[in-house]
Amino acid sequence: MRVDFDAVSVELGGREVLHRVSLSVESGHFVGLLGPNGSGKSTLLRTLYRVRTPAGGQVRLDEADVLRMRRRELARTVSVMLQETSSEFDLTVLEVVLLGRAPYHGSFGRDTAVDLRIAHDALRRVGSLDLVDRMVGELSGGQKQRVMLARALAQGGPVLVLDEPTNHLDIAHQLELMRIVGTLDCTVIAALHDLNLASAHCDEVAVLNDGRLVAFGPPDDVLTPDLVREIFAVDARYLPDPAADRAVLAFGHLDDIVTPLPRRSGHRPTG
Amino acid sequence: MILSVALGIALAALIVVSGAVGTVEVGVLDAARITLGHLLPNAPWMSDGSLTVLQDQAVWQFRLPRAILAGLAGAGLALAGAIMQVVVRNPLADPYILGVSSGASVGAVLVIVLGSAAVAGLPLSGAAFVGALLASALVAVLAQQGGRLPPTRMILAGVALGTLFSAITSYLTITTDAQNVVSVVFFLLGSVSAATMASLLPPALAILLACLIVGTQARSMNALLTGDESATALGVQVNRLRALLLVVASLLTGAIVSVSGGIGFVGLVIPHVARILVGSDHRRMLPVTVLGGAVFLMIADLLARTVAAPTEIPLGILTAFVGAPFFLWLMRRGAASRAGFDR
Repeated sequence: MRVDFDAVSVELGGREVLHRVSLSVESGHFVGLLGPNGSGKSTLLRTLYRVRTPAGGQVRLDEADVLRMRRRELARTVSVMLQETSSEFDLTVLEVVLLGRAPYHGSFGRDTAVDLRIAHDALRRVGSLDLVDRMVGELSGGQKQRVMLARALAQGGPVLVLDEPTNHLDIAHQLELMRIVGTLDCTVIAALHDLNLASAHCDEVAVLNDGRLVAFGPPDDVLTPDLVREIFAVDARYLPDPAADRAVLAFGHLDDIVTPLPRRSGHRPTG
Repeated sequence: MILSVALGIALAALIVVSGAVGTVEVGVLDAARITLGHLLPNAPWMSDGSLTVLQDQAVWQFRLPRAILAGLAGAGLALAGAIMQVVVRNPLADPYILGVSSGASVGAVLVIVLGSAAVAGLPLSGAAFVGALLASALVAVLAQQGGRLPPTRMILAGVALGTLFSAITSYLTITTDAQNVVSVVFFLLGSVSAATMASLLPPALAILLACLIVGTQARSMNALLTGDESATALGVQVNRLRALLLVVASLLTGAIVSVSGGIGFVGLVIPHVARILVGSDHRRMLPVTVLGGAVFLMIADLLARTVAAPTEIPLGILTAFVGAPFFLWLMRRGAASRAGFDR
C-alpha cells in the first residue's frame, strides 16, 4: 500500500512543528525517517496513525484520506510499534501481543485460536517465544521492544510504522529487527537514529530538520557528508568497508575538522 | 471462571447466613425457606405455621435488604474502582478520587443539618446523588483541555475539589446540633443498616447498566492500560472511551454512595485483589472484581452487626479492619507481581 504525506503541517500549542512536509512512500518500500531530536519524525508518523491531526495538508493510504477512515479500519491498515509502552497495571507478554488483534474484534469476546496462533507466530519471528508467559513489566528495555514489534506484527496491516524501533536493542537484535522488517511484505516507515543502519536497510531515507523535509531519496544519494554535517552538526566521512563492499559513515565532533590529523575512528579523541 | 463460580456460590450462602444471624432466632434452613418462599409463588411452608411472623419480618424486611445492599454496594464500588483505575491509569485511584463521595457528602449533610427544604425538597439519598454527579461533572469540566481528559489533571482537579467539599461538610458538621453529628458520621463512614427492599432498586439498576456497558468495553480497556497513544494505534477511540467510563463510574458511585454512604477501601482494594488473582486482563478481572466486592462487603456487614452486638459498627471501619490486613498479606505474596506491584 502506498502512503502519501501531502503538504502536511502540524501545530502543537500554537507552534508549527511540521511545515508542509510532502513525502510519497511507494508500496512495499522501506523508508527511514532521519533527523535530529525534535525535528518532527514522530509527529509525522503520528499523523499517519492519527494521534495528531494536521493543521494543513493530507495523509493518504493509497487514495484514502486517513482522517476519513474509521479508527478500527485504520488500525487494521497501519500497524504501529511505539517507542515505549507505559503500564501501571502489568499484562503478560501474550496479552500485549494479543492486543494487536483488537482491531479485528468487538470489544468483548474471547481470543480465537487464530489470534493465538498469530500471536505465537509473531513472538517466534522476533525470537521472543520464550517470554510468552512473562509479565511485560519484568522485561528489559530490549525485550520489551521486541514484544512491541511482535504486537505490531500481530496487528498485521499492509503498512508498518516504527518509531525508533532499535533504541534499546543490542547490536545483534538491531540487525535482526532490520532483517525481519526487510523481509515483510508491507510498506514500512521507520523513524531511525542510526544513519548506517538506515543506509544499509532502507530503500529510501527522508531527512527532517526543524519540521521541514530537507532531503528524500536513496540513502547513498541523500546521506552525503555535507548533509550530515549541516543537519546533525557533526563531522562525517565515509570509510570503506571492504567486507561489505560499501562505505560506512564515521562521525566526529564538528570542531575536530580543523584538526587535520587522521584518526582510526570517528570517536572523540580522549587525550 | 472457577473462581467466579466459587464467588457466586459464596454469595448465595452469605445471603442465607445473613438471614439467620441476629437477635430474633432463625435457623439457617428457616432463613433459606423464608427467602425462597418470597421468591417462589405458593411455597407450602409459608402458610403451614412453621415460621412465625416475627421471623419472617426479621429475615425479609431487615436482614435480607441490608445483606443485599451490602452486596450491591461492594460490587458497585469495586467495579467503579476498577473503572477509575483504568480511566486515570493510576493504581491509587478509587471510586472517590474525583470527589464523588465528597460531593455526595455535601448533599447528604445539607439534608441532615438544614433539612430537605434546603435542597429543593430532595430526600437524603437524592441530595447525595445530585451532589455526587455535580462533583464529577465539575471535575470533568475543570480537567478537560481541548476536548481531552488528561489523567493527571483529572486526579488533581478531583483531589482539590474533594478537599473543598470536605471543608464544606466539616463546617456544616461542627456548626450543627450534637444529635446531627452522629448521623453525619454514620453517613461519612458508610452503613447499610437503613436498607429496605425498595432502596435496593436504584443501585441494582446502576450496577446492571454498568456491567452491560463496561462488559462490552473490556478489550478496549486492556488497550487503554498500555497508554493513550498505543490504544489509539489499536483503533480505540480513547477520548470517547474515557468519557464513557467516567460517566458510568460516576453514576455507579453516586447511586451507591447515596444509599450507603462513603464506604471506603472496597473500591480501592478489591480490583487489586482481582488482578493479583487472575491478572489485569479485564475480561477476566472484571467479573472477579464485581463478585469479590459483593462477597467482601457482605462479610464485612455481617461482622459489623454481630461482633459488638447490640452496638453496630459503621461499615467503613469494618472494611478497613478486615480488608487492610488481608490485602497486605496478599500483597506480600509473590503473585502480586502479576498485578504490577513490583514497580
